[in-house]
Amino acid sequence: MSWETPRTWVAGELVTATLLNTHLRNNLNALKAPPSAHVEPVKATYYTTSSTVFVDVDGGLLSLSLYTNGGDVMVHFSGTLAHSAATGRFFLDVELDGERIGGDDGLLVGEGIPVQPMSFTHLVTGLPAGEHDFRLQWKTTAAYAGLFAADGATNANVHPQFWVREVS
Amino acid sequence: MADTTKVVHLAFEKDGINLALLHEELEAALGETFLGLSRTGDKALTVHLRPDITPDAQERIAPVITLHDADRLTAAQQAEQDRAAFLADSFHKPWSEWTVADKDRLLHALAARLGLLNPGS
Repeated sequence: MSWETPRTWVAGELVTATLLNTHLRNNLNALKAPPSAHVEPVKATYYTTSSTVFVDVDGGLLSLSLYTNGGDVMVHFSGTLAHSAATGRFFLDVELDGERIGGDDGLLVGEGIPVQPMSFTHLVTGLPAGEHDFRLQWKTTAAYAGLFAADGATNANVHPQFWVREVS
Repeated sequence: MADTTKVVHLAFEKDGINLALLHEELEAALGETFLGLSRTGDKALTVHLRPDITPDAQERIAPVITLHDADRLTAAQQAEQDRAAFLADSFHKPWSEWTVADKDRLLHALAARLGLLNPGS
């Protein structure tokens, strides 16, 4: 149910069921269930990359489509990453309709071998109404980076999450 | 900033890979047109390439992946494995038996483990 611009009521106006359903019921429903998409991948092995340019972490799973009403969109990721080299860095970003929203080296950077819980929440403003594509992306400086993906590995069976939701 | 929309992605399947080693093997075969590789599933493998890669170079990818032996190590991985073995052994050696050379080697190994040394130093 999409958001309708609320009606400006005038004195003496006859309030009909149609008007109430359109401007009260439908908008309350829209507020209760805003456009939203999320994924929690469960994979057979953890994700890895040695790419030195930003690429999709998983173009099939960690790619979300959202049909918005023109409001701001909140983008969130949480997960656990590590690098194979002590001085290796990994970077996270989100590609929105073909353009990375962080730009440059992205939204987050981590470094080194120890496992690192990472998360970001990023507000996207000025997005026109319509369908939009959000893709989690990453790159590394050297060797390779890994993202745990609930693959059943002992003491590493943790669950990443990626979601987008229109919030205004 | 690299334009990721112009990166070429080629999908392959391969059981059991040593990603760091396969990266080195593909880099040796393809040069600067090779940007890296990603693993997104048990067998799924994506090779990332610059858009100016030639058809001849593209044809070199599959054989490299087919011949890849995941049981082999890169030089860096071998060095890290040797270092880990040395460190594990070192901590069982009584301190009274340590020579100056042993201590220097331990410091070097610890510094390398922490990434404080350049590769190969």
